[in-house]
Amino acid sequence: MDEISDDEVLLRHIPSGSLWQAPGPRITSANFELRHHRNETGVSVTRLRITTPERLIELVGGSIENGSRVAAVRAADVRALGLKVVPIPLADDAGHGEIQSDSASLDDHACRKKLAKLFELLTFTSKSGGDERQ
Amino acid sequence: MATLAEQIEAMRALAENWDGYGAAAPQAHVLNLAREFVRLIEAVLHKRGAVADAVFVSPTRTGGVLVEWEDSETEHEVEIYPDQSFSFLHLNKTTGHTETRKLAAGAQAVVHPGLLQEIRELLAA
Repeated sequence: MDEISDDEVLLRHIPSGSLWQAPGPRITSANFELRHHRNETGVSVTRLRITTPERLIELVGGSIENGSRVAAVRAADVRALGLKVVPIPLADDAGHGEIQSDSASLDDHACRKKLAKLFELLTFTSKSGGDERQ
Repeated sequence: MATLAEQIEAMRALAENWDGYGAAAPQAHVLNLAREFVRLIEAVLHKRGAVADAVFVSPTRTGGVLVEWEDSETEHEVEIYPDQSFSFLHLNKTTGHTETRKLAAGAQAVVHPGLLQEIRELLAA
């Protein structure tokens, strides 16, 4: 399993929120909270080098038409917060990885807020690519 | 655009895994508390002559609700957890300094929706 390099881009699905948010989905600290009683060890992300944004939306059961979005961040920026970024390939997503607590903790509200601010929503400009930062 | 109360009501329709990553469905008692809290914030902002449409609500992954708003100097977040405890975050937009504090739940609920309603009515008086 190859390590995630600092310059790699990581993706995270942002659910549509069309019922409660306008004008579109917001990236909030709440997107990066762990459910410990489900034994979650980190925040799931996907490596852009391996998995496309469209495939990620498909994997999580989202829909661009219904408002699903994908947010992106650079691995080095996440590490600079004191968090770990580790590859955890899954059977259906070889690019799967996790952002995990390290010297900083995802249980810390302030840490999650900083993490949320690092992510940027991608703009889907064509069927083949969500590769532009918004 | 739906009002904040309508947005919170809409969260009752969310099922488990609403984010595609196994998030918990928002819990009814948290939504009730969030509704009263948001009304309180709106009353405070109204009292200050601030714009109340800059308040945002979101479900959290653990079944709670996040309330966000900002003024000229600070971004504010209040997370209401399923155990009815509150986490407050205040980010100074100029310095980047962040302050947090948490009201932890004891054996009894820390904040009852009725208390928030009472405070709101006092503010509005």
